[in-house]
Amino acid sequence: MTDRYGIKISQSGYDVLEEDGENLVFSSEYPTVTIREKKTVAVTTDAGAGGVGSNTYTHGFGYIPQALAFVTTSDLGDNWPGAYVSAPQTWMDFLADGYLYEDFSVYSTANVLTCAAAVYSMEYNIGTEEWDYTYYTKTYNFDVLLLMEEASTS
Amino acid sequence: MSDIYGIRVSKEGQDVRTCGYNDLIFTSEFPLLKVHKSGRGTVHIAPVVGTATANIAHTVSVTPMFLAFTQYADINSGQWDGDYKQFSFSSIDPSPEGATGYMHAVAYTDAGHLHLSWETDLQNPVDGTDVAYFYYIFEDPIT
Repeated sequence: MTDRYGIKISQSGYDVLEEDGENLVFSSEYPTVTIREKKTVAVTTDAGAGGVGSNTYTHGFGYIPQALAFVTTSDLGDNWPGAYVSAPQTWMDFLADGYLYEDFSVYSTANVLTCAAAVYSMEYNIGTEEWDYTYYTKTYNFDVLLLMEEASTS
Repeated sequence: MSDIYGIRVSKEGQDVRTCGYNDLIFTSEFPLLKVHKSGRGTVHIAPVVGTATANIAHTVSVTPMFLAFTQYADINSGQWDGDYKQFSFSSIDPSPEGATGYMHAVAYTDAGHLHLSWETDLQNPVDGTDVAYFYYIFEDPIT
């Protein structure tokens, strides 16, 4: 222990001087998930522009932070309308004759966070034997945790 | 720094008094993400069409953030993979004749539960398969 520095807290019943891993409640030897800032970013998609939309938030950290993001899906799907889900992801729900897709993206530069969404449905048209695509205007609120930890140093 | 109190630990080689936040390992200036509840489990998914659900209760005062992972099936090979993948995802072939070879894994939270569900039309193994999952439900609200 003589060449080490930092903070350790052990679980009850364990010697903090001897433990290094799972029996610690906290160790500054490992990065932690530290919330530097919380932000809700509203994104409105445009049915006339392919059902896509985006919005930005200037966090100004000066480095690319790691982030966790969550968003509530639209009310369009049959099975899971209004679900609170993680982002980024492509969320799929069912419709009577097809599928609903909601694509959620979150990314950041050194100073600006961008949240983006796309929403469209594809329903099978028996008459034309083709998929009909419909795009929607919806507003999504992205709940974002901007973490202290840097995503990349490259 | 003079008006700041608390604890800071920097990365090795960095001056804890002057370095940027990205060079800190820990600071008491910001909250840590706290885990309200974590756990793991197994569901049994039957072949064609197999479904399963797991509803995990929580007592967070709001709809909470979460992370959840599940073992998954490779739709191309038709085999279950022992590896884990983060919820939610859909592997699907939307052919006009109807979807074939698909797997849906859905996770979302509401005010009372973390809801996990699976659905797949894989044919093997004939007795179905046990699929493991694990999750973290976080305490911290966004506001």
